[in-house]
Amino acid sequence: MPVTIEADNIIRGFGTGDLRTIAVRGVSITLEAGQMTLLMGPSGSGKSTLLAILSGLLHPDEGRVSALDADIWKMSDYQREAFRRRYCGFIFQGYNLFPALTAQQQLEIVLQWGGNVPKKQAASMALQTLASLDLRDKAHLRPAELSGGEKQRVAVARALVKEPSLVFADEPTSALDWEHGRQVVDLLHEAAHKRDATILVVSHDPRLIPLADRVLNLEDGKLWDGDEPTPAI
Amino acid sequence: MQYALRTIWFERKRFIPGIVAVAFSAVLIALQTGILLGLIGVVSVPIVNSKAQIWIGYKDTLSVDLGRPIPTRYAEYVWANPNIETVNEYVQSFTFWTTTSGQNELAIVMGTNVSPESIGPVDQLDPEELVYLTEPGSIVVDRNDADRLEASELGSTGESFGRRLRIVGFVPDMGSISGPYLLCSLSTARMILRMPEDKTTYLLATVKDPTKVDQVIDELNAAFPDFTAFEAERFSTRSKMHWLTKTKAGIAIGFVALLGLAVGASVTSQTLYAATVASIRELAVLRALGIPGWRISVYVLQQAIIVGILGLVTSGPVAYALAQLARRLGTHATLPTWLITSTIVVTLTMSLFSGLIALRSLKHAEPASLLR
Ligand SMILES: Nc1ncnc2c1ncn2[C@@H]1O[C@H](COP(=O)(O)OP(=O)(O)OP(=O)(O)O)[C@@H](O)[C@H]1O
Ligand SMILES: [Mg+2]
Repeated sequence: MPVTIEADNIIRGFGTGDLRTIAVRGVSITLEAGQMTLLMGPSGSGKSTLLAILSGLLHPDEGRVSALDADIWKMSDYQREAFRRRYCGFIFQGYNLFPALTAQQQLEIVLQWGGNVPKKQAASMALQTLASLDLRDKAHLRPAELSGGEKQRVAVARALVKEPSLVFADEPTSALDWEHGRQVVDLLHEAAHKRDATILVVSHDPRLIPLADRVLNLEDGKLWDGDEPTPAI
Repeated sequence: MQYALRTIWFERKRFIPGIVAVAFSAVLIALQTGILLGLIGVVSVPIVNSKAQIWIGYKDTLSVDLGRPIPTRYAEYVWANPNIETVNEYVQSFTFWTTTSGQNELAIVMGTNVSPESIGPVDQLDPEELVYLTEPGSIVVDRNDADRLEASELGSTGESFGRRLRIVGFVPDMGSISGPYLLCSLSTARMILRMPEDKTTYLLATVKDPTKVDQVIDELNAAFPDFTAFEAERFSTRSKMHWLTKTKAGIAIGFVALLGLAVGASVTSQTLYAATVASIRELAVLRALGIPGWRISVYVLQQAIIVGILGLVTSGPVAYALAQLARRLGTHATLPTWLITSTIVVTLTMSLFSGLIALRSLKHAEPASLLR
C-alpha cells in the first residue's frame, strides 16, 4: 500500500526556559493507505501532540511532515486549512456535537460549509454515511436523544462523510464502555479497508491492540516500533 | 442561515436576554422620539386642523405660535392673485385664562373664521359648535384640558384679561404643549387680545388648482418681501423643528437613544458571546475539518441578525401598547414611517455590531485545544 504520511524527525516542545518540556523528541513515522495504525503510550508521552503535528493542527519545532506528497508545514495557513478541508477527518475525545442539530444535520453542516455541497446532495451523502454506521434510524435525532455510543458513531460519521483520505482520532473511545468503544474502532478499521483511507487512532487502551493493523508505541516523546529492539535501560 | 435559526430556536432560553435587549432599545428609541414628536407636534395643531394650503405671516416667522400682527389689508393683495380660491384671517396669540378659583393658566387663543366655509383650524368642530362660536365670548377647548381650566362642563366660564369667556364645546383631540388652546371666532379673539380689526396674525389661503400651490407661494413671496408665505406642511415642519432645536429636546432624545443602544448592544453581544462559547468545541471541530473561520463568523453574525429581527418583532406590540397608554395619559406618541424605519435600521445595525463584538469568542475555537 502507498505511503500517505511520512514524518521525519519531528520535535516539539512547550514553554520556555526552566518550564520547557519536550513533548515529541525526534519521531520519524510512515503511515500507509488502507491501514489503521494505533498509537499507544502512557499519559503525557506526547501522543496527542504527535497526532496534531501529523494532521496539520500544530506546528512542529523541527522536522518535516509530508502528507499525500505535500509538505504540510511549508504551506500557508490558508493552504493547510484547504488541505484539511479536502483530505482530513477528525474524531476527538468527547462527542462535540451541536446540541441543536440532528445527527443528519451534524454531517450536512460539514458538507455545506466546507464544500458548498448543495442541500439535497448533502442530505443524501449524510444519510448514506449514517446508514453505513448503522445510524439510519437515528438520523433525525438530536444528541440529547442519542446514547453515548450512538453519539460517538455520529462523530465518526461526521469525520467520514466527506470521504477523507486521512482520518485522525484522539482517544475516540475514552468516553465509552468497552463494547461501544470496540464498535467505534471496528468501524474505523472497516473504513480504512473499504475506502483505502489512512487512519491513525491514539489511545492508551491496550484492548484495542488486536483490532489494529499496526501498533506504535510512544514513550516520553520517542517512538519504538514493535520491530525495533526495546531500548536498553 | 438555517443552522443559525435552528440554534436560536433550540436554545431560545439562552437567546431571550439578547432578544429582550434589542426590543428594549427599539421601544425606547421609537417611543421616546415618538412622544417628543407628539409633544412638539402640538405646536402645529392649528395648521393640521385647517384646510388652508398657504399660511402667510410676518417675515420669516419661526414657528406658528410665534406669529406677529400683520396688516389685514394685505388680504386684498393676496386675493389679487388669480389662482387664489379663498383667503381667511386667523389670529393666534398667548393669553392667560383665569379660572373661577382665580388661578392663572397660560393659554393660546385661536381666533378663526367660524362660517361654514372657514378654512381655519375648525376641522374638529361640528356645524353646531361653529354656530355657537359666532356668539361673542364663546370658546371651544380640548376635553383633556377641561380640568386644568376648571371648566369641566358646557357652560363653564373663566376670564381672560377681564373678558368673561364661556365654554360652548369640547373637541377630543387638540392637545396642548405650553398651554391649552382656546378656539373662538375672530371677533372674540380680537376682543380678548385687544387686537384692532386692521391687524391679523396670519392670512390663510387655498388655491383653486392644488398643483399651483408652490407657484402661488413663490409669486406672493416675490411680490411682498415684508411677509412670508409658507406651504402648510412645510410651516408645520418648520415650527416643530424650531421647538426641537430651541428646547434642545433633540439633544436629550439623542442621549436617550444612545443609552438605549449601549444597553442593547452590551446585553446582545454578551448573549451572542455566551452562546458561541457554549458551542466552542463543536466550532473547533469544524475548524479542524478545514471549515474557514469566516464561515463560522458568518454563522455568528446571522445569529445576531436573527436576534435583532426577533427583538424588533417583539418590540412592535410593546411599542403599540405603550403608545396607547401614552395616549390615555394625555400625550401623543407619533410614530411616522420614517421613525419606524430608522428605528429598524438603527436597531439592526446595533445587533450586527453586537455580533461583531461577539466574534472575539471565536479565537477560542482552536482545534489543537481539542487534543489532550
Ligand atoms: N499546550 C501545551 N502547553 C504546555 N505543555 C503541553 C501542551 N500540550 C501538551 N503539553 C505537554 O506535552 C506533553 C505531552 O502531551 P500530550 O498531550 O501529547 O500527551 P498524551 O500522550 O496525549 O497524554 P494523554 O494520554 O494523557 O492524553 C505533556 O507533558 C504535556 O504536559
Ligand atoms: Mg492525549
